[in-house]
Amino acid sequence: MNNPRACWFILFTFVLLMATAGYFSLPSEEETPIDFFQHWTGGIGLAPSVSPAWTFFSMTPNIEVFCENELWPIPGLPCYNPNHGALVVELPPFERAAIGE
Amino acid sequence: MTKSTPADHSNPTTPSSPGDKPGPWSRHFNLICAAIENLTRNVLVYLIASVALITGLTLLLTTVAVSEGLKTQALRAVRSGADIYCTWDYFGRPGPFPRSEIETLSSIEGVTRTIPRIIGRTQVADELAIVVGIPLHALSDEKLQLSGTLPVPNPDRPQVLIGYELARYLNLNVGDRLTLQNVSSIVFQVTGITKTTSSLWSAKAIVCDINEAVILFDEPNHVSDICLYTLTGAERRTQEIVQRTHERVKAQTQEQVRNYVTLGMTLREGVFSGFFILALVLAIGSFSVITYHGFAPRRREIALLKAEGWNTTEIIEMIVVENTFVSFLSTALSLILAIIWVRIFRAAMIAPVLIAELPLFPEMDIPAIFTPLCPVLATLFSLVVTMSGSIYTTWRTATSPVAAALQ
Amino acid sequence: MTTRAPLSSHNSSIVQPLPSLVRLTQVEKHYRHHFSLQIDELDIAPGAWVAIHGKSGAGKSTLLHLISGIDYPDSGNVTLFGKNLTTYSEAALAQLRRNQLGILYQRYFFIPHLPVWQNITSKLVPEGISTVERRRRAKLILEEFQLTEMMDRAPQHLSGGEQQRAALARALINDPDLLIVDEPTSHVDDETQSCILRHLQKRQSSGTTILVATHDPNLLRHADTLYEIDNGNLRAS
Repeated sequence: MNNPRACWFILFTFVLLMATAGYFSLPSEEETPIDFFQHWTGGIGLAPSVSPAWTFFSMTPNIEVFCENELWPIPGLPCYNPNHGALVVELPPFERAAIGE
Repeated sequence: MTKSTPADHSNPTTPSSPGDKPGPWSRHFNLICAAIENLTRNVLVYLIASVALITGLTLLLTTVAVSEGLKTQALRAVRSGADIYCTWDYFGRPGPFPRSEIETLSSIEGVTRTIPRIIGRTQVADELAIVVGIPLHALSDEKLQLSGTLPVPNPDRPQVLIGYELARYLNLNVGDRLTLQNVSSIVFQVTGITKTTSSLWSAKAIVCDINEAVILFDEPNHVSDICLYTLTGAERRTQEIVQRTHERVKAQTQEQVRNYVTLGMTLREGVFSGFFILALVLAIGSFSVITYHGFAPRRREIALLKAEGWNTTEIIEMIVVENTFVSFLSTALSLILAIIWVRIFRAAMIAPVLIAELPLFPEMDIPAIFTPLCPVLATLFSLVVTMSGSIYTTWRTATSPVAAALQ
Repeated sequence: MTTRAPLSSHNSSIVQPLPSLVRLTQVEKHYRHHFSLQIDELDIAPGAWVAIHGKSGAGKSTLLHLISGIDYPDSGNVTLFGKNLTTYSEAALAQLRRNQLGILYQRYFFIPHLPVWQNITSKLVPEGISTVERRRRAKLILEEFQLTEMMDRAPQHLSGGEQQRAALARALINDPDLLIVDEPTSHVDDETQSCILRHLQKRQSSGTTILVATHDPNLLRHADTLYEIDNGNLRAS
């Protein structure tokens, strides 16, 4: 193969792949401010919600162990909370059985 | 029945020297080179064909990275938090924890520290914030990264630490004053603002002394939960003692909370699956149509190669090499785009799908981790898309009558 | 076994009967509902120059496609190099096209993104011939056609005559035993026509069998055997 363009193409691909591999071989982070804040406050927030806009369950399911929208304003309704575990995470009620105790 | 072909150096088909006799791997090397030639000379076509693939991959990688970041932060929050969380049972749901019970918990064997907390909600202007009341005198952590200083108990001038997102929204700086909806008579002073590198859940937090929180919520005799810190290895035993001696106390160990988070974060349903399948279908269709199925010159090229003496296996081998390169490059490009999208654009339009109460274009750092699994998954995805979109159509063209394809 | 065709085969008393290189028997091909090609028998001896002429749309190209194996008859037998085409495996047919067949299509059919030299040596790629050697061979043959300066250009940048010469160079790169040529001198200038005629004569003199579909009287004049296709039927003329 005597095509300079092809040689550059292979070199470019190789460099890109090495850079990608290099990125993932970087050392992992040490303790960060995330840990310090959580340690200071005793652990706040676990679920994917920035604020307890609908229920605390959407943000801190270990403190409010189920979504109160299942009981209020009309008990027994399916939960209508749009932030119930956000849209891609399914957080069931914190029952002992659910965690296989 | 062949005509004679004496060695004749004027005959172009005669090798120039014995060393030019092809080795066993030279055919494969030639096919690889031919594939690379096709790629370098048709960059624009492949780029257009790969747009849907790269878009889908970038979306996938960003989503996976944010999900991984969320999970990691959540597990870190668990790891850095209390050993046991105690809440009070109130009609079968968490209710106010009587302060009178705190002492009994402190006296349990194995408990090294007992930290009561008041965690509530309040309105600040029209923004909802989480209020965290903790005994500031019992806590100190100089490693906390923030602008300003940590609040200290001060009855005359109550102090608060507020989250970066709340500060940005309310345009607050260190030293400013703040009132909350619950009790407008109390004027807090902002002594510190968390940085965007702090936990996601500090973004809209207001941290103050527990006594201020008591006044704020007018609950002098109750707290919302108790954090227990135990001797190493004594969590389960302590939990059992708590459950046995206090019927209305619900106690969860750190391990239980960790299992719960892991369970919840690994369930991928609904929107995520829908996005993934849609991206896959669109990418396969797009790649197939643009590069092969709907691209007449490519079909004619394949037919011409057949007419010139290539067999189907050789053509497919060349196509496989082409698609492998396209896959690797699409993966790398998508990874770069995903990293840029997350780190610079803060996963705009994607993070709000994964994290509730985020604006469409977040101003805060989004937790995201690109694990080595990301490029592996992305490459597999790419290979599936490119091979699905090309192998069958190539095979069809290569096995159909050449004359028809050449027309 | 080595066979060499006579230089001139117009006098049938000189031509020695040779086994057929190409043989068609009871071949039928139905093409586009309104057209069908029917050939009772066609024999082409090694080293012969066979010309086929007829009106446009008569089926000349179809016949060449059937003989070269890039199309298949609906019925009948096409025998090439002593073997029925349908009995060739895909690998054997590919080998045949690489080593023994040279085809010049009515339309040039170049791969547009490859330079001329890579187009004309495309059949050498799966043979494992190195790039350097392929380029050397391309240069040698393009010199014969006065196209050396064009070897690195894209085919679409060549004139019609240059493309036709390059296409012929591609057909001859492997020194084929059978050269199938479809309308080689149509739409080209006189100089290119002369060049093509010269090369065909040269190849025939070295033993290549030539099968040409053409209207060109010059090519028809040099043929050993003439056939005419009329309404899909082949007859000697």
